Amino acid sequence: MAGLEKALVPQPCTLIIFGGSGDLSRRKLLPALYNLALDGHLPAGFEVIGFARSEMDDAKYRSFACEAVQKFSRRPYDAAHWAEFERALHYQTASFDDPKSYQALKSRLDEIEARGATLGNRIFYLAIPPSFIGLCARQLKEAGLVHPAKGAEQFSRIIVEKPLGHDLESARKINDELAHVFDESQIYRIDHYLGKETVQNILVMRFGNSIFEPLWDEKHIDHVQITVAEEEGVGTRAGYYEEAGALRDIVQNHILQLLCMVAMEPPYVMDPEVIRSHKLEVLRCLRPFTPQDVERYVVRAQYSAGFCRGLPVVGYRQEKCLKIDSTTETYVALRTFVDNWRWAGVPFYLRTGKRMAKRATEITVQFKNVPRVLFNVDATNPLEPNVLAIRIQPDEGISLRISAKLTGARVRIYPVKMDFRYGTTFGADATPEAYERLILDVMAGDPTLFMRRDEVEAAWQWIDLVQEAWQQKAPERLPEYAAGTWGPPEADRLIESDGRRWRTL
Amino acid sequence: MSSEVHHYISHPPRPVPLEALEDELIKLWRHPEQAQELGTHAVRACMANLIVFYSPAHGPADLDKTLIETVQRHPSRLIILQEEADSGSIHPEALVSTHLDQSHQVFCEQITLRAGQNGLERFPSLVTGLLLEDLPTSLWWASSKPLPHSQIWFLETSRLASQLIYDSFTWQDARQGIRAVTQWLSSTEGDQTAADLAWRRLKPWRRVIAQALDPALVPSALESIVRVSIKHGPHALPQAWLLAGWMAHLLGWQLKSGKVALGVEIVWQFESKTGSVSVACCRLTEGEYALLETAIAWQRGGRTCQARFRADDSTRITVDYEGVELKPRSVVLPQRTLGALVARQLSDFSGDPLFEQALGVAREMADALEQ
Ligand SMILES: NC(=O)c1ccc[n+]([C@@H]2O[C@H](COP(=O)([O-])OP(=O)(O)OC[C@H]3O[C@@H](n4cnc5c(N)ncnc54)[C@H](OP(=O)(O)O)[C@@H]3O)[C@@H](O)[C@H]2O)c1
Repeated sequence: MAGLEKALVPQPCTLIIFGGSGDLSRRKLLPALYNLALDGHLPAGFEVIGFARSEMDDAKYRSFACEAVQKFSRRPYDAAHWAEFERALHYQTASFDDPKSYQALKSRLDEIEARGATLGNRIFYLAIPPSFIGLCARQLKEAGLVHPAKGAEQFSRIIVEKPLGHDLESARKINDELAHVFDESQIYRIDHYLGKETVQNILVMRFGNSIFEPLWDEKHIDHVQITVAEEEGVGTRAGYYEEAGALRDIVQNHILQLLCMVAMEPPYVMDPEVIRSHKLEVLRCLRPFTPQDVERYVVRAQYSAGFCRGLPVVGYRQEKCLKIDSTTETYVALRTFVDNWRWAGVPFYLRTGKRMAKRATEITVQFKNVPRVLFNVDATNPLEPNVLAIRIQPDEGISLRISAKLTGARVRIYPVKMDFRYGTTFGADATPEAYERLILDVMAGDPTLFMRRDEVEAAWQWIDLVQEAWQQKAPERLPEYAAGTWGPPEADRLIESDGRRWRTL
Repeated sequence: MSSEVHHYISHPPRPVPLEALEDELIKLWRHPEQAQELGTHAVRACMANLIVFYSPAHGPADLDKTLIETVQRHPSRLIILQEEADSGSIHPEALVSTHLDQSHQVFCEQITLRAGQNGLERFPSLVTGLLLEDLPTSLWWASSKPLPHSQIWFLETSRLASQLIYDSFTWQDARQGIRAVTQWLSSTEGDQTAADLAWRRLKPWRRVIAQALDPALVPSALESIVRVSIKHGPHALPQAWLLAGWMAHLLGWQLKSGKVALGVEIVWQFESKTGSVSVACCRLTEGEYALLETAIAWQRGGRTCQARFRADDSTRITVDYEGVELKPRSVVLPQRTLGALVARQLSDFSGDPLFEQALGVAREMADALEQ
C-alpha cells in the first residue's frame, strides 16, 4: 500500500560507503548523514557500512565519524542526537580487489537486512579513486550483491564521484564497466554543485517568475560569465591535480553543469529525463573548438608565489610533491558560444583557478545596456549595465544590479544592488549542504540532479578538443598569475578584446 | 548632524583570525548581534566599499567619528588599513566591528587591518577578499603622507578601487603631493579617477565666480582677465592652484613661467588669447585652511575692473566689484564636515573630468616653480 507522503520519499536502505574512511567521507558524507538525521529526513530503516582499507571495528568507526561530525558538521554536534545516530554506523575492513572482502560485506548486509528495517535496499557510494570504480562494480556483481534494476523487490543503486575519467575514452570505459553491472537507472553520477540550493534555484528563478524568461535570450543578454574561483592551492590533492588540471577538474563538470542550467530550454515537465535531455542539448550546441580557436579563446596559466589572505604562499611548481617543470594548468579562462536560436552570438566566458583572490562561485548574466539616449548619453561615463548575479558559494544568493537616481535635486545615477541571500532570508541554518540533498535524492530514486551517461560523455567530447590542441602545442612554461590575484593578463586580454571585462567578485 | 550620529551604536572592534574573516562577516550578515539588541531584525545597508588608509600619526584626529558620519550618509563596507608605528609587525591583525543606525535598523561593517610598514605588502590580498561585488569601490588616503605612488602594495590596493580620494589640505609639501597624485593617475589605465576633497570644498567658489563673471552680467570680462590674486590660509596652496588651474583650463590660458616672489607669494604668468595674465597666490600665516580671498581683474575700455570674492567668516562668500556698476552680493558657504565630504564624494565615484584638467594645470604650475 502507498504511504501517506505523496512526495518522493527516501526509502529504507543500507548505505555502503566504499572509502568510508577517506577524506570525502570525513568532510562531507558523514556530516551530511548526521544533519539529515537531525532533521529527521533519514528513512526509519537506515544503516551505514563504511567499507575501506583501514583496520577498524564498528566502535572505532563511530568515534572516527564522531570526530568528523564535530569538525565538519554545519550544525553543532549534539551528544544525545549523536548517540541515537551512531547506532546505524558499521564498518567492514576491505581490500577492494579481494573477493573475501565482498563476502564479508555480504555477511554484514545479511545480518543487517535480516532485521528487516532496510527492506534489503542497498546504495553503494563509491567515495574512492576512480581507478577502482570498474573493479569494485565487478566485484559487487561477482559477490551477488547487486539486485537487478527490474524484477526485484529491493533496489540497488550506485553513486559515483567525479572525476569520471580524464577524457572521452576513459569516461566511456568507466561507464561501460558500470553498465556491465548496473542499469543506467541505477547509476547516480554526482556533481555536488547540482545539489546546491542556488543551482536548483536557477530553474525556479527562470521558470517560476515571469520577469526573467522573456529577457533570457540573445536580444537582451550581452554575455554570461561563470567563475569558479578557489582560494586554496592543491593541498593534499597534488598528485591527482597534477594529472587533471583545472580544465578537467572544474570546467568539464561543475562549470559545464552550471552553463547547462543557465542555457537550457524550458522543460515541459519536471521529469528527470526531460531535464537531463535539455541539458544534453546545451552541451551538444557548444561550439566545438578548432586548434586555432583554442589558441585564441582559451587561456591556461599556473599560479606563482604570492599572498593569499595576507599570508605568503608558494607557486604551483614549488608545492610539495610536484615537479618543478610542471605544465599543469591551475587556471583556465575561455570564451565559448551555445550555437542555438536562443543564444546565437552571446559569448559565455568561463574561468576557474586555484589560489585566486577569493573563494567565489558565481554565474553572472549581464544584460545589454540601454540605448545611448536620455541618461546614457555620456559616452565617457556610460551607465552600468544590469547584472543578475547568481552566487553559488560562499553565502548563496541572487542579486540584481540596477541604476537608481540618488536623492537630490540633480539627476545623479548610482548603481544599486538588490540582494537576496539564503542565509538571511531563510535563516542561518536553512541552507543544507549539497551532499545532504543529493544523498536523499538517491534514497528517493530521483536522478534529476545527477549526470546521465550521455551528458558526461558529451562534456568530455567538447573538453577533449581543448586537451588535444594543448597536447599538440605543449609549452615549457605556462603564463603565470601571482597567487591571490584574479588570473593572468592573458585572460584579461581574452575578454577585453571583446570590449568586456571580468567581474571583480 | 550630531543628533543623527547620536542614534548610531558602534560595537567595539573584535579581533578575528585572518583565515576566519570571511566566515565571520557572513555570520554578521546572518545574525547581526545588534538585531538581538534591538529585538528586531537589522539589515545591512551597503552602497559602496570604502577602503581607508590611515596611520595614527598622520591621519585625521577623530577618524572613527568621521567614518560613522560617512557611512551614515553613504552606507559602505569599511575596510581600514592602519599602518602601525612598529614597522616590524609583518602579520596583519584583523578587527571587526559594526555601526548600527538605531533609528533605521541598518548596519555597516568595519574591518580594520593593522600592520607595520613591513607588512603593508600583505594588505592587497586581504582587501581583495573583503570587497563586496557589484558595488563601487573607493580608496580614501586619510593620511598627510604623500601617496606612495611607486610602492607595489599601494598600486595593488589602489587598483582595487575606481576612485582615489585624498585631501590636499593635509599635505606638508604641496609640490610633492601634487606630483605623487598626477604620477599615480598616469600609471592607471584611464579607468580610475582621483578626487581631492579640497576640490569639492572649492565648488561654492567656482560657482560664485562663474556667476559673478557671467558674460550676460559683465560682457567680455572673462576674455580680458589680466590678473588673479588668491589669498589662502595655511595648507590651502593646492586648492588655490586648483582654482587657477580650473580657470586656466576653461579659458584656454597657456602657462609661461612661475616663480616664488616673496616667501609667501608665488606668481605665474599665463598667456591668454588677448594677452598675458598673472596669477598670484599669497599664503596668509593665519586663518582657516581654506581660500580666503580671490580678486580677478580684467580690462575694459582701457580701464581695469575687478571682482573681489571674500570668505569673511567662513560662512559666506561676498562679492564686490570695482569699475562696474554692480551691487555687492553674498552667497552661503556650506559647512561640510570631513565625514560628509567623503560621503558626498563616494556617490561621485566616476570622477570629474574638469577636476583632472584643473589638476593637470596645477601640476604644470608646480613644475614651473623648479625651472
Ligand atoms: N575529498 C573531497 O573533498 C572530494 C571532493 C569531490 C570529489 N572527491 C572524489 O571522491 C573520491 C574519494 O576522494 P577522497 O578525497 O575521499 O580520497 P581518499 O581520502 O584518498 O580516500 C580514499 C578511500 O578509499 C580507500 N581505499 C583506497 N584504496 C583502497 C583499497 N585498495 N582497498 C580498500 N580501500 C581503499 C581508502 O581507505 P584507507 O584510507 O582506509 O586506506 C579511503 O577510505 C575521489 O574520486 C575524489 O576525486 C573528493
